[in-house]
Order: sequence, then structure tokens, then C-alpha cells
Amino acid sequence: MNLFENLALGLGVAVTPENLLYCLIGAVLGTLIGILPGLGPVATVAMLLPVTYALDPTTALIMLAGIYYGAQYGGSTTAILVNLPGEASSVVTAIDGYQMARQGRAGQALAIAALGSLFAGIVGTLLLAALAPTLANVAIGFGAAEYFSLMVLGLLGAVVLASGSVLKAVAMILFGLLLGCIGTDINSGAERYTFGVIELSDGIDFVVVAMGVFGLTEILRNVIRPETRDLVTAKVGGLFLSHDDVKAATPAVLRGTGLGALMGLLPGGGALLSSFAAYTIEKRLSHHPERFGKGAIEGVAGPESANNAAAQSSFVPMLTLGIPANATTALLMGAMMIHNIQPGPQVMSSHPDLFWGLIVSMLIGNVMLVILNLPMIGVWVKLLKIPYRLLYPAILVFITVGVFSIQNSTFLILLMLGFGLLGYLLSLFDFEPAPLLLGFILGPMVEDNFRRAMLISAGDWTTFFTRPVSATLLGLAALLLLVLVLPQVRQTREEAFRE
Amino acid sequence: MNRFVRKDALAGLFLMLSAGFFLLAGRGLAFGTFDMMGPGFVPVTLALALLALGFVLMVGALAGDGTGQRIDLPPGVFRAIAVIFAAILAFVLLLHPAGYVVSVAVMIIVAGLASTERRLGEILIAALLLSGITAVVFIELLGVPMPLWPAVLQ
Repeated sequence: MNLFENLALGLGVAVTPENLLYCLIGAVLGTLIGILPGLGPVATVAMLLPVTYALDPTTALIMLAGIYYGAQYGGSTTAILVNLPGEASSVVTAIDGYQMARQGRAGQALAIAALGSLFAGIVGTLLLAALAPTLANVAIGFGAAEYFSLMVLGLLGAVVLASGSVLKAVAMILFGLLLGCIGTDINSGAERYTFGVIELSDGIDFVVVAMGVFGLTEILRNVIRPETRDLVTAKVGGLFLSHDDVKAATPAVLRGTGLGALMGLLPGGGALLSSFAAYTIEKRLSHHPERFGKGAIEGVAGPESANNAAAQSSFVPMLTLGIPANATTALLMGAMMIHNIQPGPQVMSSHPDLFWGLIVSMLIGNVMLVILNLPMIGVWVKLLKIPYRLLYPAILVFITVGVFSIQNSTFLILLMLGFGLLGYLLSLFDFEPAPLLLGFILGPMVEDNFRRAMLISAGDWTTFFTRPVSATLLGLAALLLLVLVLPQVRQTREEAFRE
Repeated sequence: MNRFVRKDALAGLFLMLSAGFFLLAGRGLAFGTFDMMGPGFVPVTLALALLALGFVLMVGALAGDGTGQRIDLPPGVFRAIAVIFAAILAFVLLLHPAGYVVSVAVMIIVAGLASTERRLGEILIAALLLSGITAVVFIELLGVPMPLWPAVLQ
């Protein structure tokens, strides 16, 4: 089947009334949590996973994906109007976006953020559609050794792209992998670290970990911070872009889209990092870098296009290799497994309706989001007035009930409480939770493939280096590690994160 | 500042203690050999690596000059954490005797007290509205198996 036949198949799936409705729900929820600070897509997708048990898997994924890319749209609204990142990936949007708003150009900033995101979203989705079949064809021949090496590469990629110390990011991955060992060992049937607790014998559900270290920890960190929200203006003003705006923003949108689409493909990449990189590049390339930080439209257009392009293209490794690029796609992968769909290269051939339906729904969702975020901006501005002190009790209710409903057990709520405390402790020490969650989710797969590869090779660990594909992947991983310790690269990496 | 309260020194110690826990609790798991790995092979190897990383982190912090190593603990944070924990515990303990509506309302009221900007009237209204709305959504619509009302009333 060629691309157009595939897209036609996807269109048939995506435009059923039910799927359109859930796509809209996902887009609305995504915008909502994007706008509200203190609630991110990881915690929201985790909270809603139990709700999707009853849905058709395609419908469930369409909605959950909508939350992820919808959050990229909503986050920019808060960044521009309140100078707070509604979403981590809109931190840099606030720099110039808020200045534009103070100059009475909030409407233009919002318009370029939404239109840039729309363009980037469509390009990112089409890239996904074009790349996925090829990549899946390559991956279908992978054995245990190749999968192990691929996951090592993925986990190391997460380290390179984490913002803090490399040592700490590696430590978090190891910690996550160790937590993933809890439960029954699939090879021997031995119980590991369960202490006889029945609820632990199947391992800890990743939703519990995600809600703890992302949802609850975030509440613990924010609840005592006095809140200052300076809504720059209740009136957004005209949304129309002038000829000069378009001229300045178009190249930034194109560059941001390209950069974001590429970075989203990398493991550990995704929306957050690509927006930082796009801002740095726009500033470097500009003839007037002094305008940045004072309301330059390129400073909004570049990062906003980049984060949305990356949000779309980060679905590529998850859908084609079965390896999540970041915490949110890891949760979406979990959603597939709940519905007994093993993520990996075979998804495209065994569930073409799910795969292509999801892709077409992303195109539709992006158009819905522009409509939701531009003409209806007034509704969302009102939501910005909800203070955090009213928001967090509501989040708490969703977290506890969500965790309970996984196994209908209050034990999981207590376990989540433990992970919330662990997450807070880790944040005190400047450890990031994202590599931990990624390690935790990949842990059982890493171990399974490692042990299977070793069993097949009768204990000969050189199998990882003698099989050409596996060796190449490990070579890339070693290269990544080497690059990390080079002082020059370290410096630019630190610079990029500081800006 | 005391060398031992530096951020990375404590971070390293924390990693070593965690690794120690996994080693100690996993000492009964068979390690096995390369061609026949036991259930302990992977966790023990990982824990040893974590132990080494924690050691490197701690030694590095103790040897460094200690700039940027202060742990940022905002005043009142322990009280806030304790209050949030109490709120969730109250929900867990009350759920079966008192039912969803009562236990969620209690959780919201207690949790609301954690904020430095709390206003009692607001919290009470939020508790009333949220417990009602979420009861309909979660229990009536989504069918989460929780008792709605106190056991004595049923």
C-alpha cells in the first residue's frame, strides 16, 4: 500500500463520530492542562489511562495523543500572557512572548505561536507517516541482541538530553531500572523485592510511579510557593499578523519545524529540549540579537514550532520500534499494552487501522487546536484566573482515584505516596524524574532482551558486538558517551540549558 | 558550611543507601552464570553500578569547593508535606467506613490547609463541589468500585 492509500484508511478511522469526539476531548484537555501551571501531560495521561480501559484502543490513543500535543498549544498561552510556563516546553516562549504582550502585541504572539505550531504539527505528522514504514521494516528483523543495544542507545540518549549533570541522569536511569526489577522474575518465576506483598508480585504499575514522581511531587514542590501571576492584560487585542511579522516569523517557523522534527526522533528528546535549541539558534542567526528578550517575534515562532514538531515526531520511535522517546510516549506505549497491543514494528501491519487512524487524527487534532486556541482564546484567559490553591486539591482527587482504579486497591495509593516523597527528595538533590521513569518503563524489556540474547549465545557476551546491527547501535551509544565527556561539547551543552 | 550537608554529598549518600537496600534485600536471589543467569544477576549488577556512582558523586562533592551545593529547603515545607500526606492517608482510612463523598471532602479540606494562601470558606465550597462532581463522574459514570455513602447508611 502506498502512503495515500494508508492515509485514506486512516481518514476512514479518524472521522467516525466517536473518534472525532475523543480527538476533540483530547485537544481540549491538552489545552486546559497546558494552560494551567503545575499540571503537565505526563501526570494527566497517567491519570486518564484507567479511564481508557473501557474504550476501543484506537480511540484511547487518539485521545491520549491529543493531550500531549494539545499541551504544547496551551502552554504558550500561559507563557505569553502570564510569563509563567504552563508547560515546561514553553519556558523559552515566555521570554519574548511576554514582552510582546506587554507591548500590546499579545494577539500577534498568540497567533504566531498557534499558526507556527499548526504548520509544525502537520509537517511532523507527515514525517511520521513517511518514515515509520521504512523504520519498521528495518526493525522487524531485530533479535534480542539488537533490541538490547537499541535500548542502551535510547537510555544514553536520554542522558545526553537531560538538562542537569550527566552523572545524576545516569544514576536516575539505573535507579529506574532497579525499580523495574521489582516483581516476579519472568525467567525463573522468583519473586524479587516483593516482601510477600501480593500487589507487588506483578511489578509496580508505571502509572503509580508516574503519578508519584510527576503528579504528587509537583504538588509538594508548588504548594508552599507564594503565587504571583501577573496577567498582563485581560484583553488579547487583534490576532492579525502584519506583513513584517510574517516576514520575520516565517524562516523561524521553518527552522523550528525542521529542528523539532529531528530532535523529536531522538530518544529522550521531544518537546522540551527542541524549544530551547530553537531559541538559541534563532538568536544566533538573527542580525539583531539584541531584540531578543525584548519582544522578538522569531523568539516565539521558532521554539513554538519546534516543540510541536517534536511532540509529533517523538511518536516515531514509539510506534515503529516500541521504544518510547520520552516519559509521555512511554505512557502511551503503556496504554497500548493495556489493550494487549505489543508496541513495536509489527503494529503497523497487525493494526493498520490503529496506526494510520492515529496519524490522521493528529492532523485533524492540530486543526482543532488552532480553532480552540485562537478564536476561543477568551475562554482560556478566564481559566488563567484560577489560583493554584484551588487547583491542587482537585489534582489530588484525580491522582488518588486514578491510582486506586488501576487495581481497585488502596495499597497503590500508599505506594504512590511513597513515590511522591521519593520524587521530592530527588528534586532536592537536583535529580530529574524523567530518566527515572524512562528507565523504569524500559527496565523489564532491557533485562528480558539482555538475558534472552545471552541465552541464545550460550553466555557469550561478545554477541552484542559481533552482530553487525547490534554493534553499530552500541558504537553509536559509545560515541554519545564519548561526546558527553569532551569538554567542548559539555560547555555548549551547559550554555544551551542556561539560556 | 559543613562539608557533609553539601547537596551532592547527600545525593551520593542517598544513592549508596538505595543501592545498599537493593543489595541487602536481594542477597537471597541466585546470581547465576553468564549462560544461566539467575534472578539476581541484573538487579545486583545494577545496584553495584549505582553504588559506584553514588560514591563518585559523594567524593566529588566532598573534595570540591562547595559552591552551589546548598540544598534549597523553603521554610514550612515539612509542615506542608505532612499535611498533604495526612490528607491522602485520611482518604485511604475513611474510604471504606465513610464512603467516597465524605472521604474526598475530608481529603480536600485537609489538603487545602497546606497552602500558605488558604482561605477556609473557599476550601469548604471546593470540597462540596468537587466531591459531588467527581462522585458522579468516577463512580456513577466510570464505575470505579468505591462505596458512595457511609457503610452505616446502607
